[in-house]
Amino acid sequence: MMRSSTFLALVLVSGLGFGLFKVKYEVQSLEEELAKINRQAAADQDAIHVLKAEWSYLTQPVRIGDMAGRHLALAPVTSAQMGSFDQLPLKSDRPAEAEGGDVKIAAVLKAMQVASKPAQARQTNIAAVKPGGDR
Amino acid sequence: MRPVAPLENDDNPCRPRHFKPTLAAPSDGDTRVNRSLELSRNRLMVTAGAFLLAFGIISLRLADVTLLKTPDPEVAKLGQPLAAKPTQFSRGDIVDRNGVVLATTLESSSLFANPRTITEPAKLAKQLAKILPGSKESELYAKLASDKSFVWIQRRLTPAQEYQVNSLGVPGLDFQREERRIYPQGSLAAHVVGYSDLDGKGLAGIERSFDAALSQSHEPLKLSIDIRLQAILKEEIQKQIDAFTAVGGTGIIMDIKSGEVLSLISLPDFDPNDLNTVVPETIFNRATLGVYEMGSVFKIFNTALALENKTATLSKMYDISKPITIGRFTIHDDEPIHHAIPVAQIFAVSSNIGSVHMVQELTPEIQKDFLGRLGLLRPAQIEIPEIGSPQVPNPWREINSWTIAFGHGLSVSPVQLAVAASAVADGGILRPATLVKRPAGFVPPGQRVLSPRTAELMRELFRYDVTDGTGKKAEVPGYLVGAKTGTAEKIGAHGGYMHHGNLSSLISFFPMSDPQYMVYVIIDEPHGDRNNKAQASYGFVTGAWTAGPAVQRIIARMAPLLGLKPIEETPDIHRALTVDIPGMGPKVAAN
Repeated sequence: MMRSSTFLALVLVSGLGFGLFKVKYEVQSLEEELAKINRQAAADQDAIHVLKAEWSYLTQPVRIGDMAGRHLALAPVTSAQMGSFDQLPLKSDRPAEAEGGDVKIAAVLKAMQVASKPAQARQTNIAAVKPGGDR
Repeated sequence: MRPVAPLENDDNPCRPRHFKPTLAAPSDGDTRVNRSLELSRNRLMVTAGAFLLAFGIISLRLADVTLLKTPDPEVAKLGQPLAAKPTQFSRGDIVDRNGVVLATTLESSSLFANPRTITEPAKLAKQLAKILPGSKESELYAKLASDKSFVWIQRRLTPAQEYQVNSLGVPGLDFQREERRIYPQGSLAAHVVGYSDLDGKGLAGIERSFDAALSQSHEPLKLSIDIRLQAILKEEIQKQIDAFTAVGGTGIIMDIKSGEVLSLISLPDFDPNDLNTVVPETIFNRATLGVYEMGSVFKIFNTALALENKTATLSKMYDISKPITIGRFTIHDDEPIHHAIPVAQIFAVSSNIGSVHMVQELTPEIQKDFLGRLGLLRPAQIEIPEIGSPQVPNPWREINSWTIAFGHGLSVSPVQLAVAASAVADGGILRPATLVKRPAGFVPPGQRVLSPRTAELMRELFRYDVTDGTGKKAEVPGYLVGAKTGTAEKIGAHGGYMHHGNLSSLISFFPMSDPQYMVYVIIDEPHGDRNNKAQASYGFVTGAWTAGPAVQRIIARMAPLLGLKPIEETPDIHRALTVDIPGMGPKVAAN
């Protein structure tokens, strides 16, 4: 009895010792990894800080405007280009599809015009202003 | 021989006390030895039990600590390595309302040398002169060849320069970490953000007024400014300044519901990154520090005053055929009308004579009190230190009250006027303006300065000025713009009015069905030239012809940017915004 319990204790001690050793080293390597990640995160945050400043510098509205004018066939949105979802034609408004599934473009445009009311009901003739009215 | 039996009852008095008799097999009836063995065994058992108990407690506690209990975070932290922190700068960032960086602090390095350890100063000076533009080889040589142990070579190198210097691999050169304030948007928000000196001390604008807060907090300070609107406002004002060879200009865009200033421009401006551009002409903030006689835009307040005090209605007629003479002054209209016209038209054609007739029915005290409530007689309250004090006539006599009726004799800053006029357009409630972003949907408590009815009539007048009056140039289809123009003659250097120095302005609100935004543009000293196509103004330099087209383009560009859909002018809206004057017929109706 005494001998078996001693043996069991020995097995337990060596098992636990080995377990403890393994866990300790695992924790140590995890801690190293954590410190590394923390350092990396701090370095990344520093980089983000600099990049934000650079982003702001590179996206100066005037610079973007110049580049868009030179390289793109795009222009700022005008009020006439703004609409809402209820201006889009519903499926029921859609004209019958021609053979082969092609929709006649003219018919679609017409349907859109019917669905949308012109946004500007009234046009003021700016050019017709008489000069020199103000003081 | 019988063994000698141990002496039991020691009767030998000479025997020493420590004498222990040799153990021998217990003889029968020898209970004394048995008893002592029993005692040792009991003691052993008690000790073993105590140890067992102690180990039991320890193992229970171990199980409790390791398996059952959640660790105390404070204690758990002790074993962890220190988390690395990103670089902390001594000053917080300033960003616009959408988070675009307007001012930030970056790490930079300053180069210094220990000349005693430098072996080839001539060669090094040549190399450094190549890397560092703006430095002279001879000066560098003098520094490097000196027998000091420390000299500054250059402060605040760019990262590229630092890299190049490092790759020289010369011992004796070293870097000192320093901070540098950077304004990535350059001059675009210069008058709002301001600038700071090399030591990071705020010297103007938000940088100065929030100096303490910026150096304590690491959270970015969010301004109400929208950098995109800032770019639009600047570009359009600059266009008019160039076309009219004006000396300067200023503009403000405000969200009148929240009082947030979305854009504030003063031209000419400076680049806060380059302190050489900071000279008195450029640093001067025309929008908040400059005070000017504003001219006809003051008729907004004059008309509101008469309507509020019920001395006039929109349809009340005033005879404006005769100029008004007082002492050596004559008040006249640039384009005289030789009959009586109603108040609405006095506003729309901007008649000085009519405005004076309207204020003549009131006392100067009432006028002064009203303008005071609109905040026009005290310095503007906004978060930058460059605030001009209005020039208020003292005493406020009748003649002052007459000239103030059409905007002369009282000088205010553009931001004061913008806030006061916004109160008139926004239902008669004066709300404080701010340069710091407010929470979405937050409407600051205001102060009622006009009855809702008067404010409603004023909205009709603003709209009427655009449909049928001097403000036609500011119309943008779909956005129901309302406006008032103003052209003031500036006071010359020797006193007296300059006949060719005007301050031409236009203040507008949109959409008039429920005013949300204010756009105010002032062009300082525009010069008319009939032959200049860029002006397109037949030589006129009034607010309508100089600031008007700028405001029109600004609204046309900013409204889609802010996602404002064009408003369909329904009959209800049309009726609500139409000046109703009996006998004027449909002509007055806004069309």
